[in-house]
Amino acid sequence: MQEVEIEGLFFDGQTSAQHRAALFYREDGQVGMVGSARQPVSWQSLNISTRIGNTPRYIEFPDGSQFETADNDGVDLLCRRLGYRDRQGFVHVLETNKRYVVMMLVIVIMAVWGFVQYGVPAMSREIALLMPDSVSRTMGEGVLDFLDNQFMAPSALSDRRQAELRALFESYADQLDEGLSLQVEFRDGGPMAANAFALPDGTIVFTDQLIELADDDREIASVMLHEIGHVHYRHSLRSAVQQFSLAMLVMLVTGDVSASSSVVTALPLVLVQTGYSRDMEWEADGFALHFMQQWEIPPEFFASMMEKLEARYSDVYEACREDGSQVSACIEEAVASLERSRGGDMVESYLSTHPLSRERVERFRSALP
Amino acid sequence: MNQTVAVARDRILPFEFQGKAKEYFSIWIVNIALTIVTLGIYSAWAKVRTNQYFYGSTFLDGASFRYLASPMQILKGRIVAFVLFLAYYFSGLISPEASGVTFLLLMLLFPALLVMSMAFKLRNSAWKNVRFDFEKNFKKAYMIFTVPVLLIGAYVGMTFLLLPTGAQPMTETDAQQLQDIPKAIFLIPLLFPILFPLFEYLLVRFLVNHSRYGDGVFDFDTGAGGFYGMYVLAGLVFLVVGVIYGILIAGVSAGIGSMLDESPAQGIVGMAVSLLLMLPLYLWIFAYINAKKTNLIYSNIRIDGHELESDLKVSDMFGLYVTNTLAILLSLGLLMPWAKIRTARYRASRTRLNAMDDLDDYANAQRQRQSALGEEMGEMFDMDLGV
Repeated sequence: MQEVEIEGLFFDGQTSAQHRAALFYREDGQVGMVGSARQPVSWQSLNISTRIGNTPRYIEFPDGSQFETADNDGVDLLCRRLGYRDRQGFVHVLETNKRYVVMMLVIVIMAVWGFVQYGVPAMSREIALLMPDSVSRTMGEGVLDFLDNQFMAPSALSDRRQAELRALFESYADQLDEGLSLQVEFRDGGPMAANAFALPDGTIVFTDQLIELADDDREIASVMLHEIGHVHYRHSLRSAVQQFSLAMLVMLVTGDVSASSSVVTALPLVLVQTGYSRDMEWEADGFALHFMQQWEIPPEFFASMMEKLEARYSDVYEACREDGSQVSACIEEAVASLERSRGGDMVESYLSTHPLSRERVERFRSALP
Repeated sequence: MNQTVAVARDRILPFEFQGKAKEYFSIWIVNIALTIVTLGIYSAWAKVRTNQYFYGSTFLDGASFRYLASPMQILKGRIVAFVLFLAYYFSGLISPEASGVTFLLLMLLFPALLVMSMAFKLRNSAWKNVRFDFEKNFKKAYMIFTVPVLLIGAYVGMTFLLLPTGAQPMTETDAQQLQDIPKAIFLIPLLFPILFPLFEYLLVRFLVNHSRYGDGVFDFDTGAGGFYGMYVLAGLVFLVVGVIYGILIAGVSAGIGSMLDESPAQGIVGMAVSLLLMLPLYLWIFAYINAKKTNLIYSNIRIDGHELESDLKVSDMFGLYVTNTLAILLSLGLLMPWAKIRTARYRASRTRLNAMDDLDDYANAQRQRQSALGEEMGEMFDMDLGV
């Protein structure tokens, strides 16, 4: 009867001693070691490792001994001849066929792109809306305390002014009929400067600096509506879900957790997250615009407020402040400079380096009142 | 059976890595695609296949390493770990208290997870048909973690208690209370860098000393001095180079400023330049610590008189990291397999075993299979210590 041999190393399973050896198999299905006193065994009692690239194959005998060989083709032939079925063999077929590899590559690229572009935002929106109110409420707990401790101070606005703004706020919030428990707070922003933000529990915080920046209460109202938009769409919860989904994606692609903290993955992650937060700003703007139009507040008020907020960080403003001028005078100067540079072919304006801010302003400017 | 392979005394046996980037790329991309198609379930098989490829491509004394974990074990662990990871991630959203409790629980579980994870990894690794092993000594693991956990716990606890709560401004009594606490509390953060190298040394010694190859016992044969030396030098370099960079960056951004003449882009350009300058420093520190630590650990491992030796070069590692990072970023991740393969090849080329005599006498110790739970949970919470 014809015998086929495969060269390799034999280990008896008791010790680490290695022996150069040859494995043989016959057409009657008996497999054994050449020159060994051990009885050949039936191929059915063997455990043959699956093929992975060109790494060695391991053939385990029932007595715990093992044959290791680099002769992958020889082992493949053995499996075919004797009828040994490798349940994972199809993976090796996928890995070695160029057409399949390209197909897999296309699947991965499409899936990752689709997931990042559509999957994560859609999924996180749904999940955020599904969560009970209590999650939003508890999520914001402690955040305001933390900010108060670290950055902000009690508001310096007069009680009358605060009451006035609260009344304005409530007049809008009542009309919204959202079932949201909205509440407005005023603080001296300190290092947070002119700012407004919404906490997930529906608390909306304005800094004194932002209030001072406004020339018309309707500007403040437009910012309120924008912030209510964040609460309405539960954006805090959504970003948490988005972050989580992205972390899972990174783990999936790189195969380990630590990768999510390395430079290589940090950069793309930051870019993607910036994209998501732009989307959410855009969505909150849409909310504000919708109600401004409905209640006949000219959308221009949001545009002018945005410009003033941006102008506050511009060089013109900084220079003017250094001269010791009044805040309001400097803002006016900075906005005017923005207007000028937008019209002409001037190289840079602050807004053009921030395309999103510009787009947002344009959106409100071009909207019907 | 043919003849036993001839054995010479005092042999230097180099590690050799024979993986190929092209081959691994196919394995990698098929793994990801199948994981996506099966909604993540295949990830357990993918992990096993990847490990089998890297183990199987590593040779010592003519024989390859083998990874033996079964995907089903890993899948079960992954499901539990995933649920825990979810809980850990979202507990922070629900309330600070919930996340505090989860964090505390994890801290308490950490040493046990580490031990189980090591045991799973080693028991599923084999060479020459003899398995590695890890002696599960939970008591010692907990003892090593006691001091750092107590320190961190005390610090976090005190900070929590001391912070005045609520939006109201600090009252007289609050201020008085703040005066009363011992100043020593504020010294705790200072203790961290002083104690960290010692802690890391004790941990590595624990992990090495409880590792086995068959019936051969690993021994970690050095003191904590090397760990201190490594971190002190890294810290000094960081300081010196950081100062030089600071001067450079100030100069560069001043130069750019005058060129662009008060353009608002100045700030952005300045930031980009300083980031670009910082990145190499960051990568260098990373390469330095990684190379030195690997050398320090491997070169001090003895197994019955056989000595492991590793001499990674910081400059080589730095070159690898820089080129890998650039390649992965520019290829949108597609060169990740290439980066992994060349790193593994370099590491293997710098590692060898100085064998006293033949390595034939290690007997297989029969042990029961280890549950994958420990390892997978460890993996999800990122405690791979690179040992």
